[in-house]
Amino acid sequence: MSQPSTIDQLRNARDTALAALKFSIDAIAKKIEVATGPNEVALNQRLDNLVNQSDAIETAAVLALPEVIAAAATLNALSAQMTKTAQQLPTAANLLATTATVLALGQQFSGTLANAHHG
Amino acid sequence: MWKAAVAAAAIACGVQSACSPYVFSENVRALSTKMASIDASYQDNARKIVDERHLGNRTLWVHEKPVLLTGPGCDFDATYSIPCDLMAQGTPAPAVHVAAKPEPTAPSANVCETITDLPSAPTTDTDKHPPPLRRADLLRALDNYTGALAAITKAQDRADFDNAAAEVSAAVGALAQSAPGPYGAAAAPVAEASTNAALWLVGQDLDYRRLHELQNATRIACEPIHVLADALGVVLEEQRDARLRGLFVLLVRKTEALNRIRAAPRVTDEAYGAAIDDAEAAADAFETVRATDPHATAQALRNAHDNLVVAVRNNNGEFAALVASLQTFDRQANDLATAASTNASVVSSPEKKS
Repeated sequence: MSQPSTIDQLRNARDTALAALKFSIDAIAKKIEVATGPNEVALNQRLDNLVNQSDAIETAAVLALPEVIAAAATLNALSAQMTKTAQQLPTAANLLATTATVLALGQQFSGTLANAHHG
Repeated sequence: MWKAAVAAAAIACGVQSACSPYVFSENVRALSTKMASIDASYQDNARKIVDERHLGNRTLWVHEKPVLLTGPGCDFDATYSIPCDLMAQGTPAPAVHVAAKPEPTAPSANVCETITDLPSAPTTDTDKHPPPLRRADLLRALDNYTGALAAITKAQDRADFDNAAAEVSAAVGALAQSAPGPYGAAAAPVAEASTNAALWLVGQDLDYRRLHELQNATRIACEPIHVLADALGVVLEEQRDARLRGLFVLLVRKTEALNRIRAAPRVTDEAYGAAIDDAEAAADAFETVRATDPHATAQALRNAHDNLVVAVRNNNGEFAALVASLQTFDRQANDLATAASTNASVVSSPEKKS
């Protein structure tokens, strides 16, 4: 069995941390929906705190992983190289322009030859 | 000798267009248009079903004014088969079929080769400790790559070539006709066929050079696409979850406001109905964002690229599978971009507390 990647490990750690907070968020939310009276404000404040805590659990570390940075650099370099190569590939227009020039010369030569033959 | 070459070329390719990698483009486009139409009808009907359910509930609730709660579908951490909606307190909750969060699928056989000839990235002073990427950098790297793939394959170029080749071929026939002597007229059809074959071989060369570039590029990109797709999945999922939490809080507070209005003395049906509409709109926005799954979409993109790598690697001149793989990869890239933009495009009421 292969080991989970570093990216998967970060994702799983985040999910575990969020699950604990979500349980509290759900419970507070149910109370707020039908809340009346002075505890309404306190409940809403508590909900805001829990949501802020959840938002703070982020996975920005993924963007600093050496393999992720290297992969983006490789793909960008490859894309630049591919685009350059694509510009150097012969296009249909170039090939046909050459062919048409040769044919025009051939037509001209053929006409000249025919005239000389009859003349 | 040249007759033998012409015959061999004709047998190898049969009808000229049969060898073209782009011969299926018309059929694929027609199928795509029909699928888009079916999808639009489905979306339209789904929207009407939701609107009609909201209207039915609104009529009942304005009359009975029950305490309203967010339903079990408004759970931002589960894959439920029921949509997020309001429900009256005391009514039986709709049956929820909880689909457990899918376990991470076992990685399929790695199709990537070990690469030793990586293109050199520009070096900087910060190479030893490169700064972290920004989220946009990941999407830009994928965008650059799909753009480069399009430049390498360039379907329109081949179509232009086929059209123009027919004209050049006819011109060769006319040239042979005008040739002096008894061979002129008799040689014309042969000359035309010969030129067709020659042009076709040039065309094939054009395609195979592009195919070679495609083989090299997809081989090198194979592993980086895995890493970037995984990273993007995590980053976009995080963004989606944050948006869902915000919309959930908004929905809870709209529901709270709705129940406050319900309990107020002399509340009009119009004011109460408007508060219901407001809360339902928040539930709809929540539902729209919840339906997206950036992580699964990123995985689909990764799989589509794997299929492309294999199709390109095994290609022996049969382009149909290759074109299909390219289109699938392109579609998955579009889906990922859509998933990324959905969070930003869902509109909800700006205030957090009514």
